[in-house]
Amino acid sequence: MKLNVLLVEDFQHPVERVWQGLTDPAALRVWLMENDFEPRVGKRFILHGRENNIDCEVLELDRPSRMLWSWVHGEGDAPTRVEFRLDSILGGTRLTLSHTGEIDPLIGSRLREGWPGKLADLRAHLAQAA
Amino acid sequence: MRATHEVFHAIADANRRKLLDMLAGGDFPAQELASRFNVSFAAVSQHLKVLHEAGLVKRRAEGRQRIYSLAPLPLREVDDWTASYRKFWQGRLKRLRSYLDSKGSGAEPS
Repeated sequence: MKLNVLLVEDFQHPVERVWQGLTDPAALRVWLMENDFEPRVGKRFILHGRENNIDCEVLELDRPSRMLWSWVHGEGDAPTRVEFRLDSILGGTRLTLSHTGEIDPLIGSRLREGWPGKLADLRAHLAQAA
Repeated sequence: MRATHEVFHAIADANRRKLLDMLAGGDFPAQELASRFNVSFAAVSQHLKVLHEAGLVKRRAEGRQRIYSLAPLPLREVDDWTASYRKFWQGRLKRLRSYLDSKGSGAEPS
């Protein structure tokens, strides 16, 4: 089963600033998940989800414009790929995020049950911060 | 409404996905579907049964033949799943935005 997520977001910040948001472990902790990330190719790191850990690896790093991770949701799963691309645009930065890969539909079924809870947490967090 | 689990289970098998692909091109009798596989008729028949139970195919009798056709609606479950991943990242990017906006905003000379 194909996973193919593509998101484009524009930010009113310089590329360097957005890059820092993507590659500073403290920043990743704030907006993504608890982690032991380091911005270097070959670094294997773990994103600590509430229900499970995600095994990741930095596959490519082209500062400050592109970063590619492998993303393994559960033990034995085929790796998917998460790519962040930054382009300088008028007045800021365009972030292109893609998450692609082939996923076992049975795992898809499991994930499907996991994400809504996380999203509810996120909504609560955002409401609190506002 | 079928259980989500049944739909995902049904499409977890490569041969069953291939059957769905074939049926996307038109209706076929079981015999003809089976003739295009390297597995036994009994095996194909079993796969068709699983697909039928998941609500992904319909069958009708024409003379002595059983004709199968695609019933794609339950596949929406699968699309919803991909959507949940998209929503996950959308939520996280919203958080990235508030992080970037809050951190030292206005501190830099513009």
